[in-house]
Amino acid sequence: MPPVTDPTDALYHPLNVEHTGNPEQRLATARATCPVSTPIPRVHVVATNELVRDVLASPEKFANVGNFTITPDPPVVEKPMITSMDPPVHTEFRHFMRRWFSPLELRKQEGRIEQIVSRLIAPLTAGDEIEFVERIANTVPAWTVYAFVGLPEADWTDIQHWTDTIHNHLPHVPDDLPEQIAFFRYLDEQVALRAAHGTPQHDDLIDGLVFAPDLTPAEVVSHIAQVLSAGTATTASLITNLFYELLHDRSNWERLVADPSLVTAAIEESLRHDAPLQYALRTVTEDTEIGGCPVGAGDRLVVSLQSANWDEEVWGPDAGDFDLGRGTPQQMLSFGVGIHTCLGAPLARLETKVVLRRFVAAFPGMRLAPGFERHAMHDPMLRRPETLDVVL
Amino acid sequence: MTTVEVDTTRCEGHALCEGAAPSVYRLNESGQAEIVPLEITRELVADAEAGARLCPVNALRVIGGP
Repeated sequence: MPPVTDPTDALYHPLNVEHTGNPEQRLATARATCPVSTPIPRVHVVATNELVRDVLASPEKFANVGNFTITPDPPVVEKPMITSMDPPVHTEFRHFMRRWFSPLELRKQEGRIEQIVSRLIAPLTAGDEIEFVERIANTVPAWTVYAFVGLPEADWTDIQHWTDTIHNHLPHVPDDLPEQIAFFRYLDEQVALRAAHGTPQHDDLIDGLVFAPDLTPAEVVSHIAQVLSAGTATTASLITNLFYELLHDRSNWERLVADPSLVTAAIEESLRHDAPLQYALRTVTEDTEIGGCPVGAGDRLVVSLQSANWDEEVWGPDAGDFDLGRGTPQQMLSFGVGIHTCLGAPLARLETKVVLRRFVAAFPGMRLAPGFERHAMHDPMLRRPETLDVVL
Repeated sequence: MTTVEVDTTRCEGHALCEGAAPSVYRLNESGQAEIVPLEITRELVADAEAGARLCPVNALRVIGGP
């Protein structure tokens, strides 16, 4: 298909929030008729499960250099964040980072997440009407990650404001965005404070990075920013999407109340049905083809995790439905696959599990607020309802 | 005979194998996948394959037929 320059003409344009907010029909058409489309010159959208999987599993052909920008021929950054790294640098750094995300470490987080959720639930009473995104879905992941990284609790409100604002500008964050400047200045200070101690004082990610060999303070800041960014808005979307689907067809909620062992199945189906991050980006390293479509070195790929998860070839004709009873396990791709598989995926699942378990137990009568209608968040990459009004 | 190999250099403890097929996989103390049964019997092959298919970092290989 020839490139389309007018964003309104494209089958699926990754920066048109009308498309990304309501992508169901567009991505279905893409999968059926044009699995590799080109909405922007040299920027290709990959839509089928098989091709998405192939691209993600071939890091040597489809590199992470240049994330998060969406233009061809991305500049090579000297000290990239982990999401923009390629092997061998990526391999070594991921191995180093894994220590903080190991299952043993994550089990230690569970108690802290329980505490955070308890604190947020404490003032709530059955029958209250709340806006769930702001009160719960945004806050649980934010506080969890701030605590995990080791940022002082007094600063959490400021950090949340800065990172939310930055996230609203993805995938193109202007360099002079005031919130971004304030956020990085703050992280610079935190890193300098820790470094001034001379030796590690805390068993947290900041000290781990500050006292790691071979990392400059600027790199430490960049990695911390990456973890904060990756771990907050995405998990907030997961929690929001999950609660929306369970309450939208309330028979799902009732099934969970009757059988809380369905919590894990509900989370996995939510991840499949609603990819919190709708697409990942890759850069073509050499002229090649994807599903028969030629792509050139330096071209960018918009790899639609969401479309891969809705592929009828894998999930059947009802792939678009939210179904708690989906039997055969298949791999959904919301956390990616291969060497860049989301490091924080187990943490995101754990947070979501705690929130869902606690709400099912505390508010079995929970439902959508009368008259609530889902409006998609206006964001190119994230997928979730903008708000979620519920009655507890 | 069927066997399952865990590539411990790749396994990151995502635990999806254990979730899908607890009769075949479990995470050990250090959070890495290990194989539960001494032998992957004919009845367990489908579970072993389901768990391996879910591994996001391709750390599991089911080798040989039933």
